[in-house]
Amino acid sequence: MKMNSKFKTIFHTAIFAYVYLMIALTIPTNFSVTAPNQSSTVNTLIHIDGKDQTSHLKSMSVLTMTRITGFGRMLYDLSSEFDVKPLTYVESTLSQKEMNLRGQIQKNASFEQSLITAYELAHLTDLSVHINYKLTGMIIDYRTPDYSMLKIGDIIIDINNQNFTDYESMGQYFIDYDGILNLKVLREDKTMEVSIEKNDQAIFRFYPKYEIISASPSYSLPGQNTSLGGPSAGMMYTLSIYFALIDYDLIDVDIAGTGTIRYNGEIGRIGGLPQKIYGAYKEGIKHFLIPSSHYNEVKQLSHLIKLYPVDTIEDAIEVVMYEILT
Amino acid sequence: MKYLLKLWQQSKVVRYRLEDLTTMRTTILSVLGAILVTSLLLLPLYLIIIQLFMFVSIHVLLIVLLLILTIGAVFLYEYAMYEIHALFEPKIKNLNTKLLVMIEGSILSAIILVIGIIFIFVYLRGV
Repeated sequence: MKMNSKFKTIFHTAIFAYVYLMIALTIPTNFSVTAPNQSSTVNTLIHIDGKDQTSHLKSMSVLTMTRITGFGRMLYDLSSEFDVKPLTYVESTLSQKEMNLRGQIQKNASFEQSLITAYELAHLTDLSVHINYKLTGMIIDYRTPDYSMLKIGDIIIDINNQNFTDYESMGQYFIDYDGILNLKVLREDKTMEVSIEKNDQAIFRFYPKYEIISASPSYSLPGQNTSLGGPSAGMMYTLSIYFALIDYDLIDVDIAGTGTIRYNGEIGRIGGLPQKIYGAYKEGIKHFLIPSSHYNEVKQLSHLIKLYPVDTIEDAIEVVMYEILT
Repeated sequence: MKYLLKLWQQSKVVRYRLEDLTTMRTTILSVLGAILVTSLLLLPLYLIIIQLFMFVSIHVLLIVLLLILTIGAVFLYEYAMYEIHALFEPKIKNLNTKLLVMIEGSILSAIILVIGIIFIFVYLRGV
């Protein structure tokens, strides 16, 4: 009887702690976290057939989780390597499924752009290297919820019957045009017409969508089947493909990097750079390529790893060949 | 080996006697009760471990911890199930149900261990 009474007292007290613990462990907050992750060797993600592709080029990724729990927020705040911040507007308007879909869209766009850029650059050195592609349209990476008639992943193949052949003019037309836009949209292999009227608050983000008709030498994309997502490995993909295509085999040190590859060869901005630097540092990597527009944000970490800011893919190639490898 | 066979034979005897003393209704209630108790007790630990997966450097340790926790959950479930069953059928208290907990828990744990080891090897190869 005495034992039973003691158990009741413990139960009365513990149940409150239990309920509070479960609330902290399950109720999501409006915060997200970015954490360091391991590097990926680029030649395991993109493979050029018949070429000896270096295993020294690494792309850095981060782990992100949105709507972390109260316990998670407290836990991740303890580590200086983690970045806990309120959800951005874009994150707050998307479901986890849409976030994952965006990651895959960005990764595939990054693969296509890297292949095109690297093959075209390599063609300047070796005429036997060539790639034949055409613009399919602009794939929607994000749109404000007001435009729910357009879905993330839809491909805009034409605007107002303008028959665009390049991404830059198509994107510029979309941005500049005020009024009703008649869009021809490809959704799950079906073409449909959608009309929208842009307002001042509208936010749209696109990536170019290409159809690669042929490429010599041929390539394979094992990285398409991985859970890694996002566009930030574009620069490292391009470097790896380019050096393989021109048979450059002098890379004998691990080089990590991050930055998107844009249609004009520029290296674009990315997120989670400090966490990527911490991740590379932990693996003992000594050289890290970053978009130059980020340099001021992370220059205080240059005592951990040598940072090489680059503006374009040509800059990145020069840095690897003439700065890191000399 | 002889000792294990003896334990196995003893557990079969206990099981036969248990079947005589229990009904389908009490079995279902005790199983559901045991699942509830096990879940309530171990869910916080699982939730904490899952959130720790953001720390990449301790992934293997966390997988091993999850494995240990799952094996612990099996034994906890078995123990809770016979305890709850005994609340419905007090005669069960006279049986050596701890033997059943050990035998059934060990068999299930061995299966989970094999699956867990395969998972760890697949994970390490992926890394």
